[in-house]
Amino acid sequence: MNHNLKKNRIWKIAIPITFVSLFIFFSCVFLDSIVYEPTATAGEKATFTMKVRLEPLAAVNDDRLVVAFLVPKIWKAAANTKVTYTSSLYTGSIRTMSLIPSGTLPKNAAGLTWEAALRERFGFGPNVLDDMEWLVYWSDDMESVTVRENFTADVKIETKTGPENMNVKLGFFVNHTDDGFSGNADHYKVLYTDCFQVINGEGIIMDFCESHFNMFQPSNVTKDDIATIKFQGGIAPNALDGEEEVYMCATAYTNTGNAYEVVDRSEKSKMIKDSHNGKTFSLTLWLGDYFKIPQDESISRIEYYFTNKDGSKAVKEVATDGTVSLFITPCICK
Amino acid sequence: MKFNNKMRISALFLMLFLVFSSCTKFSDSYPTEFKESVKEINGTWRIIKASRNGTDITAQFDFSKFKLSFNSDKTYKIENYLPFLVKSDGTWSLDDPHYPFNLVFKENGSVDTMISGFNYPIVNGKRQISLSFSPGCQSNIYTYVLEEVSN
Repeated sequence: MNHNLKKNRIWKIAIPITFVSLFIFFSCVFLDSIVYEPTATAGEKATFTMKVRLEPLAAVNDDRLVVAFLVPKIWKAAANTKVTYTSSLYTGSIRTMSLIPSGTLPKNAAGLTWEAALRERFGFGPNVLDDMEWLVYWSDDMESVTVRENFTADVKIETKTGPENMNVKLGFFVNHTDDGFSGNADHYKVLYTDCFQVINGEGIIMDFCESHFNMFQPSNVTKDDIATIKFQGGIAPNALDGEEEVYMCATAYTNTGNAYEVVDRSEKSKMIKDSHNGKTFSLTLWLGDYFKIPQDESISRIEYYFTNKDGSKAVKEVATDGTVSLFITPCICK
Repeated sequence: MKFNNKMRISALFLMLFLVFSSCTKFSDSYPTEFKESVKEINGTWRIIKASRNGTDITAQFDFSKFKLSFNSDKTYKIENYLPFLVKSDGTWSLDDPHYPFNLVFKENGSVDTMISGFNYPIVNGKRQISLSFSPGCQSNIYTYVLEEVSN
């Protein structure tokens, strides 16, 4: 009898505590969709609208809406982006958002800045090149939300694309300062676009969406950079399947029209296998030193292909019409 | 009665003595003034970790031969140059001797100074220097973590 009474007492205490805990800690942030045109002209404005929905289950004071935008670095979007939002809380009013001041730490990200925490958790999303950055904005106005006051917000990101032709999957993230990147997925959401195309621009297409046999990083380089070039043999059957030693044969062309080649398949050009069973090989090199570029010249492009030890087998660029050429990476710095 | 008066006067003087003597300034023979130490980076340093735009590239490239020596006369010397903030030898200084955020390099014969972000943590009991800079394209940030070469 006493035992049952004690049990009842425990439940009388435990149920309200559980209820209150849920009530306080459970609130939801949703990112229902991203509205955008699938293509944009290089150097022109592109607009993305994040359809955000919030269902708070606790009253919160002095909270700010936080959104982040994963974008190619080459766009220099921090200087060319405007973020505003409209909300069902304030019908007809357009509110502004600003870049979070550099070095600002979210409440629950273990000492990382917003940018660093996003990079650590999401990297560069589904993209295959990492020359991307997370730009983080917060609402200029502090918000106070009462319990169960569900609301929507359309966050409009107007940015300017870079001058290069490009395929890229842009990322969008929503959170709020009161949560401060706690890692609880109820409080944040992240979505990526399909392959967004920038057209009518300069140069060959920078493809962040699809893996190719070749990968060159970073995409902005000078001869004083350390670059990594990869042969990704696993993406499709190719002439180098089964080869344990892969070499890069490359020629650097400079602004003066000179060409500097390393095509001897020596130890210098031998690529390192990334994993024991994998088919990806990489070579990380200091460009100026590797090609012996004179002090007064700069590299304008590098042409290269991948080959086996005796040079009898090679993987080169094959166009959709079957034309075979070398892989070409322009060396630009913007 | 007289005795009582003498007692009272004596007690009054005693009290006055105690009051004034209690106001004597206490002098600590072991003053404890806490002050951050001057950051000493004299010595020869080697790269133990290198990253490019946040990606660790230490194992992909031979950084082992690069040496950077900071001398007590405020000169520095680079051995086996790799992409770095400066290319030739020169002089160095910290922006603040106690709380430095930047390490300032000036190459011999140059009027310009080059500034690197500077961090000075102790990891596993060993002092490290972390420098961040862009030797090539400005959009690429490299971070070298250096450890002092033991004699």
